[in-house]
Amino acid sequence: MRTGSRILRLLLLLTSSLSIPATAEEITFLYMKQSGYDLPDIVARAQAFQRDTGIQVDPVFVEYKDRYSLIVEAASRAVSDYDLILLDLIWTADFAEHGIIEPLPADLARRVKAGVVPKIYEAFQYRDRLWAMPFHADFQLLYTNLDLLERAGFAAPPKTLEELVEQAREAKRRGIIEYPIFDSWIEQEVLVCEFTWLVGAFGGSLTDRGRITCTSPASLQALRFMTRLLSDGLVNPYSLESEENFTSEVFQSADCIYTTNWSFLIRLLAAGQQPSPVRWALSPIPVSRAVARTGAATSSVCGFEGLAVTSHSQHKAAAWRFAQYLDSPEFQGEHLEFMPVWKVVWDWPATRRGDPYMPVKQLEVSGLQYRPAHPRYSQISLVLQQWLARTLRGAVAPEVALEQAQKGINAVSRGAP
Amino acid sequence: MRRLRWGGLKLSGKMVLFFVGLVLCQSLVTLTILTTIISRTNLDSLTSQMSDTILGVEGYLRETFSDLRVKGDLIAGQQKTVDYADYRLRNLLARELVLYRQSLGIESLAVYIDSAGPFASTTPVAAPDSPFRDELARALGGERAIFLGRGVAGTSLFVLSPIKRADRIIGALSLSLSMDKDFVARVERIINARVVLRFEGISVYDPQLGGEVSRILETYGRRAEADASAARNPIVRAGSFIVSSLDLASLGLSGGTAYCLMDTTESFRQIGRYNAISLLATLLILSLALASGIAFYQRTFLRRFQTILQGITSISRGDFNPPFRLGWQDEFGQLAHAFDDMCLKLLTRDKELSQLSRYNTLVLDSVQSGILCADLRGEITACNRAAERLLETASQAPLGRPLDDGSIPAGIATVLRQGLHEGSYASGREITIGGKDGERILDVASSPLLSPDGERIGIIVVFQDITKEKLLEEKLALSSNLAALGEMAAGVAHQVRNPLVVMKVSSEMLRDGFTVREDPGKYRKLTHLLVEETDALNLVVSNFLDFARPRKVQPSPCPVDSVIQFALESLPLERYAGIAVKTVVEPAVGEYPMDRNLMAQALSNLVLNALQASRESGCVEVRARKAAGGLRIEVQDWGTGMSEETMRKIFNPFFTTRDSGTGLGLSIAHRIVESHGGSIEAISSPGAGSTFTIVL
Repeated sequence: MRTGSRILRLLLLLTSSLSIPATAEEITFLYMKQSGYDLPDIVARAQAFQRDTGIQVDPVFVEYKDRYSLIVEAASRAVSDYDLILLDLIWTADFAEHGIIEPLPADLARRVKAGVVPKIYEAFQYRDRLWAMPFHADFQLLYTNLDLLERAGFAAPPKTLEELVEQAREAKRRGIIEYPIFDSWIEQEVLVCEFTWLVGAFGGSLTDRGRITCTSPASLQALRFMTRLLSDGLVNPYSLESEENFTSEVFQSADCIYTTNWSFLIRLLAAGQQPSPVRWALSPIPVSRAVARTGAATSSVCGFEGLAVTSHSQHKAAAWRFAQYLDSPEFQGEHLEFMPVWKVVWDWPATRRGDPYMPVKQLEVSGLQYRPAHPRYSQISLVLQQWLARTLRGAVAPEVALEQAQKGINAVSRGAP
Repeated sequence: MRRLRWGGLKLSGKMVLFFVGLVLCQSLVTLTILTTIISRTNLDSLTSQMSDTILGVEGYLRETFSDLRVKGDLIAGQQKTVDYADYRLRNLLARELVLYRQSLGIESLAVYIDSAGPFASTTPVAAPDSPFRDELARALGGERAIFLGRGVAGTSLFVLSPIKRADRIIGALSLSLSMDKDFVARVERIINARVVLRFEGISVYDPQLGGEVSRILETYGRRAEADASAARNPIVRAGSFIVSSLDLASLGLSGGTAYCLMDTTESFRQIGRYNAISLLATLLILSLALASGIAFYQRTFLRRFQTILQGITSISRGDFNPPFRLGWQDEFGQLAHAFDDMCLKLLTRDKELSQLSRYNTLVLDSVQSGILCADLRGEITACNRAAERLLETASQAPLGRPLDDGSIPAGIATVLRQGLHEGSYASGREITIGGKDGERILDVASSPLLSPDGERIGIIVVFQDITKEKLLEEKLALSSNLAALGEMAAGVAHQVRNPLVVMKVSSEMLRDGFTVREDPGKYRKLTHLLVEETDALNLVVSNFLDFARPRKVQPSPCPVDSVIQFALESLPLERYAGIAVKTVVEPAVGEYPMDRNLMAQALSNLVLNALQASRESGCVEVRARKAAGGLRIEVQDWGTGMSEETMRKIFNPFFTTRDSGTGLGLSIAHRIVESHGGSIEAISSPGAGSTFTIVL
């Protein structure tokens, strides 16, 4: 398919070189299918860009799971297949370290740093350079089924993790639901995400002075919290098999009271496509009571996507130009179902009117936790996923698992360039 | 209007009517048989179809049940079903169940994780009732169950499949299929019949069937029950439907029955149309066949028949010349040819017959006896020349005329009539007829005229003129009578003279000085002689008077043996002690009309004559037997016998060969027998005895 499109483009190139003056520039944009802005919007934006600039943009939409390999494969060629890519923040160190992507031009970097919320653009910084324009600022939030909550005797979502446990226990005790909590604890990247915000909720972080660590007390508390929820029957064991999309379905089906998930669930819930839409509430993910006492209100995990230009692109300027065009505050202001990255958009009255959850989102941004930025993050994540999953299945004790995970992470990290 | 009579129709008319009748009967019989066969065949066909239909329904139901089991197992085995049930994702599970229900077209789906109630279901489900709980308990125990139960709307078919994770039973999936009108419609789509499902008195069927379903099923149930030979799925005709049933128990489901109703109305209406067309076609063919048959008959049969008829008519008129000489090659040609041959032969025979007739006429005319023949109608059919001469009918020939028209003398006509009408034939009957030369005596005999087959076809009378013979006979008889009278007078004189001589002598002795005192013994002897001889004279006179007195016969049926016995009892048999008298009367003789006393007297005279003719020892036998419509009595002795001369006189009065006899016994016996219309004969030879035979 890819070869076919390449040949087609080559033929078009040859044809255009024969008949059309070589003035028209064309860039290829690798985008993700299943999340973020809708594809028609992207296409429309690309066409608008072509009308305004004469630069042709060919969007290529691929699955998330294929994106990493496509980018790496394209980078091995002298001329990359893609000029502009949608970059998951966890790949930033990897691609930067391996020369796959170009850092933002200095002027553009300055403008980003000046206009974008720091908690967001900092996710794309590596070795003091900014490697992508923050485009899609996603993070996890707490979703609560108000009907079930009220039947359990509570009026508002919990403010702390302890309160969350109490409410869940009461709901279970009352027989409202067997498993009040459902989350995405499948042995995938999302498990690291969940663990990341939980560590933050207990006042810790997976990065300590530039070193990746998972043996901190907060990490142990977080993992013990997870195992306790399982052993107490408060979280559905099926969470261990579930990724975010399925978890969203569970919540939409009112088969749980609480779940944490990315912001795409807001759109789904707002759309109310279920036969009997649930009454739900969006709230910041609570932290432990001890952390709350320190003033921290929430803890979440980033799931940002940025726009990066490949190092082997022949149209880097055009690519950066389209990146700015696509990532403009105007475009984001028109699509408030996604969290804007530009501070200016946050302040627009239309934004506050158009997105009732903006305060919650803004609050959640303040509690965002980063997953470790490392060129070998993918391997590190796999190690961590493995030990977390084994712990949740009851195979190993939390402390043992974290010790073993740390060893694995250290081993992987030492091999880093 | 004249009444049509079969006998009055011509053969052609009869043949036409017979042909029409035959073809009509044949057509009606054929049509009836065809209609019966078609109806029966149709019924058999429908019955066969019904057998196939019920098999089809059974197969469909089996397939449906199997399909439901498979679906149940499939859904129960789906990972989502297992996971959602195991992890209590009730709503997600319900959503999945809804999707399954929509895609599989079933009534409802529910998942049970215990027997309390459904954990998730596509439709609100009440708490399970007792039978359902039992089946559910089995399913939760790992067994699959299929049964009929109370569904969302009416009766449904339930399949319960265990839901397993590894070897652990985590719940049961309930899948139901409504046994409703839609299901009935689905079944009906695969068969050519209407379907009624009946569950515990509730029927499910297409509303188009209307209210007659109950009546049809009631009739079916009654007839199926009455049909003891019915198979598993009895097929019965109920109203305009052929009905069969399938007990769902045979499919492992209790409490339900599927009925198939095949409407035969249209089928039989179609047959009725076919029959009408067949009838019309038959009538048309019949009409054509009749018309062509009549035309054929007229051309090939009637015309030739009329030709043959004309020929036969000419033959019947005596024209034996071959009338046809046709060139036809068919049966009529053969018939005409046969007629021509016959005519040639008849012509030859006619000539021969004419010659024979002339010869016969010549023979008859040459016979001196008169011969008359009459047929059974009394018409004179033959009269020879001698008859015409004797009867003097020359001016009024009797041939071909009725015997009563006076053309023949009344006496002859009487003989003819008696023979024809009474079967009484004359033999030697003398008839006196008048003639121009005076009266004439004819000796007439008649006999039946028989055909060669022995059949009586008339009467033949033969007569001769015996006038001269009779005159001679009378003269002879007169001479004979005078001789007999002379013999009788001589006998009487003989018998009278002897007493008179004794009486004269005795009287002269008494007159010539005889006194009683002198010889009283002689006196008494003489007077005694006088008295005796007077008595003897008196006896002679009495016998003569007795003989001469006319006897009046008073016949009545009398047992013959009794009459013989009566005759014997009157005889002084003790005087003939050495002679045995034997009677032999055949049992068949019985009774016979006669004057008992007279006949006994005649018999006693004959027996006495036989005793007297016998020697001192011997035998006299009296025999009686039936003979030729009459009675025959024989008296036989083996005595002295008689000469021919004696035999000629034995019946003459006062003729006797004995000194003491009166000579009247046999004469009296002769007269008594004759007065009975009978005859008496004697056969004798000297020394061998005699036999007297009375024939009545």
